[in-house]
Amino acid sequence: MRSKLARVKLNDMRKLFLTLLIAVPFLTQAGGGWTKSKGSAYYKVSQWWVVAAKHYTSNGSIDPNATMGIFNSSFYGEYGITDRVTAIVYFPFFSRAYRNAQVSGTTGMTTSPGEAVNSIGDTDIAVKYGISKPGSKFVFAGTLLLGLPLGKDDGGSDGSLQTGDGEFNQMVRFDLSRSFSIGKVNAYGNVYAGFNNRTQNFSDEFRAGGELGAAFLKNKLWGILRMDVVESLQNGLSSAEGSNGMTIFANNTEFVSYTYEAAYYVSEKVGVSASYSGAFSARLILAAPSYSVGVFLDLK
Amino acid sequence: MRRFTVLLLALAGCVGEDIVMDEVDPEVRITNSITTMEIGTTWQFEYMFLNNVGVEEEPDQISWSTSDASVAIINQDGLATALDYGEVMITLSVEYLGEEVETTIPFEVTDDPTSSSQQNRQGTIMTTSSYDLTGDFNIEVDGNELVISFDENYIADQGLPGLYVYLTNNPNTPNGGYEIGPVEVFSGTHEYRIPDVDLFDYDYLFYYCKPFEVKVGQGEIE
Repeated sequence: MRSKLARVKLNDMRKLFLTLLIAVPFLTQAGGGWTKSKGSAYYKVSQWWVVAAKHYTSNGSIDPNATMGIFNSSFYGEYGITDRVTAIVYFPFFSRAYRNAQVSGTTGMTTSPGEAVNSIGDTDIAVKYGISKPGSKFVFAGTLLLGLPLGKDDGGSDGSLQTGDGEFNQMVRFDLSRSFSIGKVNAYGNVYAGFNNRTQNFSDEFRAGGELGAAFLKNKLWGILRMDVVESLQNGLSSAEGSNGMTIFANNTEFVSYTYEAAYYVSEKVGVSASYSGAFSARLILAAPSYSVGVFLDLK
Repeated sequence: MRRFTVLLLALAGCVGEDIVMDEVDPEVRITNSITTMEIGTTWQFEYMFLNNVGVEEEPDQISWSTSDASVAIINQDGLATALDYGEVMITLSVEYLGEEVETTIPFEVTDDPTSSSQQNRQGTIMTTSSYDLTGDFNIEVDGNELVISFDENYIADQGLPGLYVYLTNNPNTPNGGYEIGPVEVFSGTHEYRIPDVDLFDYDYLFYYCKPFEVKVGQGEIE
């Protein structure tokens, strides 16, 4: 069961609100409390994107903004160094952020030109350690993640187009998971909590979430429902004070989000996945759903 | 269908266009109006014409006129001459896109020295978004500087990145306005000193989030 569960890789969710959170660790999901067995691996190439003309304000309301979008082409990999130690990497090898031109509805003149920036994106590397013994009914794991600011944090004519926020963050996270069956349907559940230490005057964050997954079609199709919570500790600079006030990667971002994801094995090792994410509530973040599609390789 | 369109645009990563509804009524404004004019003297009126997006431009045709040529006369260059005691109105008319735009100012011809109608202006900024923004302000001229002073009740939201303040003649866009600069004070009294801007050059204080390209609030200058 563990290997099946490990197949349901959840990196897409980690990019849910990338537009405002590039440097926030994406390791909100990484196989729950299960680690990869020694020598096994999971790789995924995916595309994630969001386009938004609205954002959540600092008080949770929704206000308009210029249409902006970001999309990431990324590689995600997990490798079992031992049965209890898994190495994880998330590498957005191409990240593009853009903002629409502003055109006068009266004169037809462009009053503010559209802009775009292309680069690699902020990257995560992590190590997960299985605290519980392999084969335990409940599995418990701890993860240390380092968020590397490899993206561009000052793109565009005013420095506000970004594929990263320029801060190096470190996150510690603990996952508790269990597999079970509902009749003939294999399923699993996972809960996690984590602390994200951010630098460059960004506020630290408390993170938590949960996930339920179930397998259908002889375990070829996995359906996943996920919820994530990010709570800022409000111990950094305000958005207006930080980064000369020019970044859209607002500090003190918070949200309660949900994700629907489906992963389908077209063969024993190869599969495709798609996800849709939105928010129940949020602050200082784009107000639009994000999408992802990907192809994965599961080497057991 | 909209979501599908968004999806396609996102996959392409195309830079598109957002249409900004920025039309305002065209306006002609006398920028050095007076309340009294000394008999036997002249006064050179100045004006500015603002088109239908609030941007100053030269009109094709203008016309100055007086309501009582026995009190004051004015030529087509805007030079008025006070001839006799009494009240009079000066009207400036401009042709723009086939329509006539005009403004009228009244004043009285007296023995007193000619005096300007207003030495300062006031207003109250208020949010047009979900972000906090409020406060009263006063504007006056000090030498060749325009001084904008905010009262104690001024508050601006710090949760918004890239908040800038402008002087504009269009409450819908900063385009064509004067960029004062980034907002760096978020509560209480403070002031901006702006060189080479006159008291009647602009009608709005305009708050704008640059990264989001969206209006946050405004204060009409009364």
